[in-house]
Amino acid sequence: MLPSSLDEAVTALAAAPAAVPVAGGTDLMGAVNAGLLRPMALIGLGRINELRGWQYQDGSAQLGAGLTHARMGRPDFAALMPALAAAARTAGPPQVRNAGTLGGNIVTADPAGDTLPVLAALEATVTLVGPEGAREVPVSHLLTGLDPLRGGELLGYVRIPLLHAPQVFLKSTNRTGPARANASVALVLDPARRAVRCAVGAVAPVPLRPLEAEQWVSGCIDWDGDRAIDPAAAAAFGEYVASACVPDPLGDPDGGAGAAVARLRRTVAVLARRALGRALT
Amino acid sequence: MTDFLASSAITTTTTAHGLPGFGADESPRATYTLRVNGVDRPVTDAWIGESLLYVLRERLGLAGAKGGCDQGECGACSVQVDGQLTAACLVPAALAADSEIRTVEGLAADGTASDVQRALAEHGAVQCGYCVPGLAMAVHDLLERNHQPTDLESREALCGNLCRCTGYRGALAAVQAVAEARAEEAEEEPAAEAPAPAQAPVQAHAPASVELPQQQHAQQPQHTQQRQAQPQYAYQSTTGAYPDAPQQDYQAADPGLYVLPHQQTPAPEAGA
Repeated sequence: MLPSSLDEAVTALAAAPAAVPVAGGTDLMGAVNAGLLRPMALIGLGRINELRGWQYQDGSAQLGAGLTHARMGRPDFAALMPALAAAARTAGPPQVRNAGTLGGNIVTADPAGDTLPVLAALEATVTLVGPEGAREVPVSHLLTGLDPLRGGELLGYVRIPLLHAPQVFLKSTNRTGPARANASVALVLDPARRAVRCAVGAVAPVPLRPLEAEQWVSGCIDWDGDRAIDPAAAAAFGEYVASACVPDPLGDPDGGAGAAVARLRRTVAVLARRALGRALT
Repeated sequence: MTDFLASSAITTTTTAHGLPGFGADESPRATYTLRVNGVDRPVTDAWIGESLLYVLRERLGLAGAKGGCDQGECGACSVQVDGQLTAACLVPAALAADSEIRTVEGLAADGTASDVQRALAEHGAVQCGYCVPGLAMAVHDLLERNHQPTDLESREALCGNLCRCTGYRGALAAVQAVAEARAEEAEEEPAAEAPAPAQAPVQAHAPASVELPQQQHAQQPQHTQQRQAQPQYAYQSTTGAYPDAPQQDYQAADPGLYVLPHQQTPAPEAGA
């Protein structure tokens, strides 16, 4: 079943509630191949051209949910949303980035999904389209389950504010090459509101926002000058973010689970410190 | 006693053949046509959850794409779907029904290996051979969109194809060899061209495509048609696939935590 417009897809989904909507299929087919999922029907979203592009809309960018990672990694996109482009570029090998989509990344909500911390830091909103019409929901509400996807709804668009300021995405992986993140940090500056927004991905089921650390560090930045920050303050920010997002290591910090948590905490601290440093230079 | 056994046997048979009992196949099935290497191939009564890889190999007998991980990690199943390199194991075959699929079998015209395949063999990129069909597709895909890939671009393009035998040096050498051979070929054809050295830097090698560079940005939507329409050497940019890609993005990365695709290739073989 390959509808060619969003309305058709919504109608098709309403007619067959057990059907699974498929965008890129990279996560879905992984589960099907592993025998974890036996779909009763598939609705392919790959032919819906309105979802495959993006456009400006009063100070924000409206991204179609069907944008592939390969498309998001391209330079025209990177000029406006650098962190999202960086996340898309490291999301996987070309074979996967050519198929995997932004919307699929959000709906699957894999803890290690690379675009998710960026969307959380950008405070993106998503448009969910269902039989009763469309509604806009903050992406964090969707991811945390505060306002989940209802039956028969499809993710149509993602709206991202254009901040025209440095944005950084950094991730740490277990091996070289494009791999699953074991921790990732997205950090964006919002000079208009004199705010730093940061999100840590892959350490919890959803991206985490260290709000207190953000508030504290935005007070340390000389917004009117050259936006410099004392290296010690940047290091303290890293520690602050890490202690907010990674729980205190239980047990022996030199071995076993305690050591793993301590190591993760250190990784997050370094990523956050580096991200801040790069955003401010 | 005999009656009981006989009757129970009959009941079992009816369940197996008639009613949907244990072991009955209730999975939804579909019949569709796949367009593979320019030929329409009918697929009948296939479970909708079958991957393109499975359908190509098991139903259509095209065993070129190999099944490695079934998770999109290894690249052995790489095929082109609508001109995009894709892991066939992650494509539901039923949804690829009206797409143009190109597999490694389509590279070898009339039974002769393509230039990429020959170069891979010549440069020692083939040992056990399991990854080679996927690698050949990836190299073809790379050279279609970037005619003079740098070492970094080649490594990024091949980072999704795992090879546990050769260490990738052969594959990278093959990419450069094919790129040079194709550039020479392209130069010979339009003889009016000013002579450029064979290993020219990309800027020096701007072929007779005066009207084409503007299309680079418009390339995305009509990807397939455009690529097929263009001559092999036509569009080219100073930096390759992404005309103004911020190269420093990759190079400025701290080596510690954030390691990028190009660094995945193992260190030179330990000869010394």
